[in-house]
Amino acid sequence: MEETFSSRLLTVPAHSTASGVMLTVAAMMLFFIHLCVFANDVHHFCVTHHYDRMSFRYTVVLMFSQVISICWAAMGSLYAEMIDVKFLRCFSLTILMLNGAMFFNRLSLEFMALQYREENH
Amino acid sequence: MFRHPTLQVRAVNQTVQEAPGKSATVGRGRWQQTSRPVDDRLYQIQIPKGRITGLPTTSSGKPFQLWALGHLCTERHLAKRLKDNSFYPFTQQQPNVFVLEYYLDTLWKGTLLFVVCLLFVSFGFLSQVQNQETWGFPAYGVGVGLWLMISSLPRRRLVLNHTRGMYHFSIEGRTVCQGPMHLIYLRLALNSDAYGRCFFQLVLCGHKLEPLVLVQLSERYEQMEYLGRHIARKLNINYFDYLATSYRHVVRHWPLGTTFNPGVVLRKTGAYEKQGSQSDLDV
Repeated sequence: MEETFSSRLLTVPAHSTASGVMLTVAAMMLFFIHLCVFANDVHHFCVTHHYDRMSFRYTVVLMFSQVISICWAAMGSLYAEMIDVKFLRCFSLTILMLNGAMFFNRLSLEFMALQYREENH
Repeated sequence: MFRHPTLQVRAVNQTVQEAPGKSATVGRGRWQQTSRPVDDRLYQIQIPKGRITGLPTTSSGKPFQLWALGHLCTERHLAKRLKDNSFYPFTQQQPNVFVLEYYLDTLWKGTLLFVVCLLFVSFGFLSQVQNQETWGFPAYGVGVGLWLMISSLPRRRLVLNHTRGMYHFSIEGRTVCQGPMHLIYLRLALNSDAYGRCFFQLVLCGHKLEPLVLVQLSERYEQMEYLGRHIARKLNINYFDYLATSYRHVVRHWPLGTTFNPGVVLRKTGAYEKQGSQSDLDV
């Protein structure tokens, strides 16, 4: 019976279309950055075996960035669902799924490369 | 002098459903203000003596007046502001035209985030923690702060034009949307915490508009309701209670077609009473 202020989502503000598209585009750019870093890591892990050139020093920022990218893609796809434009809906859902897949790829690679990290005693 | 009967809307044993989203879809292509003959009456009676400003102001003087922080934004603060400017937050340009120019509050939040993170990055605080490079966190802050700042820099302008029956929202001169008066309203919103205490917010919102919070987090329902009704009466817009279905809504403008709703009974009277009782559904 009590109604919280989430009911204001019933009326879609004009700026939400633009901000939804901006969020999805930002998530897409972050996805490409993460893809490049992932490709570089896989190359050094599997092909050249230069483990010290992998991105171990940036793991914390990278995981944070991947989670933020998933959140932004989810928010962008939420805005796209509200405005009902088919192209934007498909686009934002695709970006969301790509970001989710990239997150799990990164998680698996970090798990496999755990023993190759530098040890400090 | 010809006296056409005034329309007085009254709900008989029924609650009026407030659904701004629905009325938006109803009125989208063919908006028309059904209360226009009554509004002419209202216009004749509503002008208070000595209040008409002969000097139209081109821009309101306080674009930052909506920037107060949460705990400073109490209903007492709003009441004090209303004493200075009875059409707060709007300014009256002409007897039936109200103008509000403002910047979004994300302007100062974005600027603060940008400056603080820029200092972190440039001076190298926290750039390395236990052999992990962590300068990426303030770098994110710089990017997000810059984006918030840039998106809030253009000044927003909201105009309520009762002579034409429309509101007009523009950003830095570029029209974003305009629509009929029944799509903009003042609303009391409810937030409750885990212990069941209720906090109320007074928000000015509308179809395709950015919601403007006038009072944040107050516990006094009667005072908030009084302030909300007072402002809505001064600005001549609808006022809605926090419940969707309630007797306490005050609807001054109806979308086209809702007066044919079987739950709403039109009562024609020959006399016109005081302006406050017009379509006042208070029980």
